[in-house]
Amino acid sequence: MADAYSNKVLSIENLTVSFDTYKGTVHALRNVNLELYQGEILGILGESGSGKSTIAMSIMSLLAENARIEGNISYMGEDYITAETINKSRSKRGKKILDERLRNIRWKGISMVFQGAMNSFNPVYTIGKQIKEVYKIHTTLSDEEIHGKMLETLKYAGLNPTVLERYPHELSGGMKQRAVIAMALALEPSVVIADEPTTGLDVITQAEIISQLKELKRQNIIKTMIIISHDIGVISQLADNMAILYAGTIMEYGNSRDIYTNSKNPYTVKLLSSYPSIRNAKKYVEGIPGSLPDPIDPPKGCRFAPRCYLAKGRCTESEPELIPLGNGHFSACFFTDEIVSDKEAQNKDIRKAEIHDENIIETKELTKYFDLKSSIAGSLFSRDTKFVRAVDHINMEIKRGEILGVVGESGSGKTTFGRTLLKLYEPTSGSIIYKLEGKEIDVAKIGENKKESKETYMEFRKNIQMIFQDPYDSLNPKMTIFDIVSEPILAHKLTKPIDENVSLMQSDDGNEKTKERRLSPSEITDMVREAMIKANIKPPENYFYRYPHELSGGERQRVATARALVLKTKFIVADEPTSMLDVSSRAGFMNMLKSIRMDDKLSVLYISHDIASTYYLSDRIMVMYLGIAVELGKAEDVINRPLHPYTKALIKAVPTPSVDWNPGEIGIIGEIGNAIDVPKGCRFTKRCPYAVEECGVNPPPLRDDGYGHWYLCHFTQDQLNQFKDSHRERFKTTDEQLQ
Amino acid sequence: MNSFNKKAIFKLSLFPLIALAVILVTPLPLYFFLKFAYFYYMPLIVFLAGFAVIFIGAWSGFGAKGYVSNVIKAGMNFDADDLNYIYKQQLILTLIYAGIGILYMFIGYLLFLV
Repeated sequence: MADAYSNKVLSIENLTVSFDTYKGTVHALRNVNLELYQGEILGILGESGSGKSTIAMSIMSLLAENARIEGNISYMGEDYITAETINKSRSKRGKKILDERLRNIRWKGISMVFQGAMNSFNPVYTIGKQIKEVYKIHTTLSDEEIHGKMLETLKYAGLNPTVLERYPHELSGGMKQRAVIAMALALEPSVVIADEPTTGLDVITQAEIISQLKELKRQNIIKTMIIISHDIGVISQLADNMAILYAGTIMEYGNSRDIYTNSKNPYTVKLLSSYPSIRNAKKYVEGIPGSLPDPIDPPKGCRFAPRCYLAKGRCTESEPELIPLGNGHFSACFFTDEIVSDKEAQNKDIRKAEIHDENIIETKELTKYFDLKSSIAGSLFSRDTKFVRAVDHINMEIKRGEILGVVGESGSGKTTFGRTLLKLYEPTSGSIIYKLEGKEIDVAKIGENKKESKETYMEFRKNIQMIFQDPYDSLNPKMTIFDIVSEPILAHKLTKPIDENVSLMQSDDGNEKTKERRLSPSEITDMVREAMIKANIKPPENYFYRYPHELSGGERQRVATARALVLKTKFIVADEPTSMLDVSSRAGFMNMLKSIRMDDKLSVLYISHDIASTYYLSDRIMVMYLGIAVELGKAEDVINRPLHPYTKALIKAVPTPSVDWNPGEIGIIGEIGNAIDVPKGCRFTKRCPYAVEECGVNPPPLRDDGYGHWYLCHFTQDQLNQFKDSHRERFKTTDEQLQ
Repeated sequence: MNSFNKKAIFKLSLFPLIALAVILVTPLPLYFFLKFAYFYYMPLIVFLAGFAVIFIGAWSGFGAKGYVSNVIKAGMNFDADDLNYIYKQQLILTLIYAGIGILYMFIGYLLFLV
């Protein structure tokens, strides 16, 4: 490693970080050793809570007051963080000395792109003022010189100079992230630390940011970088070397390609196999059972042992050291020779789902517009009457036992579509027809006939449920798990016949019906138990009296699923159910959903911006853009043979966890607009590199391949290919196009 | 485009007027049951309620915060003209509430004279 890069820029030696809390000492990092050489990009990969951000914060010396540090960090050969300097800094004078020393290193030497660009800026100052602050604090440049430097930095980050005058809320997520990068590059630092630089961004923006970072590295504007992420796709694109972190210890270190193709640690093997990818998304992915150990009381020996498939007695007795395996590859495992890649698991057969012919739900010209003038405040303050066309004339159907995936960027109307299907939003027009046990319910019309509406509504609600995106917000923290899962049974006042053979009684309308009674507590418990077992919460009794805060994110989402299943639901809308889950629990959740669908013939509308996981789960995929469905077809067809230019760009932008992935020309211009001032013709016109004048004027026709795969476009595939060959320059994502 | 939405202004002005009507009408049963003690304090109560209405008019945003947040969430354009328009609408409502507050005080004074 030292041969490949000339100078050592940063070195971390035996870094141990712990935090004193009232519950006990949290052991965040243990004996971390890392070296960063000039020109190197080091990737740090691991699950949430593994200590990735603590490393970054330690380097920047931004740890909380209750942190205790052992070991040292040196920059350009000078130890600037040691146990001694940190301990001295507890006195006023010591603190002043340390602050002065750090001021010379921070931003000039080491700068940081903080996690969550959305919150990295002060909302009351313009972007220009905030970038200027960096120069004002760290340099003696005049205002004019600073302005010149700022323009240069913005150019590097692919931003337009007008951004300087704008406030953070006026920028899109991608532009904000670029502005954060510009700020980090302001003083041309030797090392840039990027903490989850693409988390929370759309797949297209993510690909653009990755390309931008690659370009900056190529131009030597970013000299040396540490990139921290939980996404193997992002890390493998950028990093030369990779450190895999688990529960505060480095499990494996080496060249990215080596680690990806020849992992020598069971944790890395399992972590890599937890990611579905577009290339092999239909192959089985297996999560990692269990969760990260308690940082207050970590297990003895290897920290991964309780979750490891190779663990033996020795693993729980002593902790393995990082063993050199040659070529700068290190692994902390006693059994590196026994490790094989997880190809076996990936090749496991996936049970073929049984999809019935009859539809469970159909939408016809379903439309949902939001009008800001509908409220008093809206009508008082709005100068124009404009509608947000969140869902615009969508026609689709879902069959019994089928999973329909809905993909698209943020703002494409996926969530609104899902919520309108459930009548959580009142549809503006169109129909939603549910077919339940031979009965047809037009949900859009519920409420028109008050007499039957309540009964129909309850029947519909009982059979249709939703799993929400955020498992931390969707469960009532004051209720036990049993109460949460049993709540739908009580809300729907479920009954059962007293005796199935006898006793008919006269109902109000004169018809005879069976005498019914409320369910007994033991019957309710049985239903809750059954739903929890289906949702893979085992043994359910251990969870009955626990509260949501006692569970991990994955477990909470399973509880939310059990709650959705307890009424023997026929149809579920799952709105980004895995986006808040850790990588290791995602695969488990998706496999659980697949298995429930097979056992119960459940239909699912799976909404996600993660195309690989949607491909893994779905039978068919619908692609949405600015409120309309632009393409729909079998999952394999949509992913492998996308027809619409937007789908093509979307799929091209998905980072594949392999080192040789290069999105090249993504084939999309700018960012998704708003659904208010939509073009008369094709909604995608403004961003489409194929667009001609006609596209913006006339609505595109629906083109069907005859096998249920259709797309909305003015051009056939042959025309698109011809166009691409003759207009190659339009497909280059230049800096100008990104604006 | 810049015309004021009279209907919305009227709706928002209606609240303090309805409140005034309620304050004046609800004590009537006491009058019929010959319980006159309340009427001794009523002018003061109405007068002070007038102050409260003026303060509500001065401090309330009349839903502007929620509206602006909805506009930003929806990704709609929002510029200085919109902000000016909001300020004007808020000023008009503040003045209307001040007027209604003065009406409260005037009625309180009349009740005191009666």
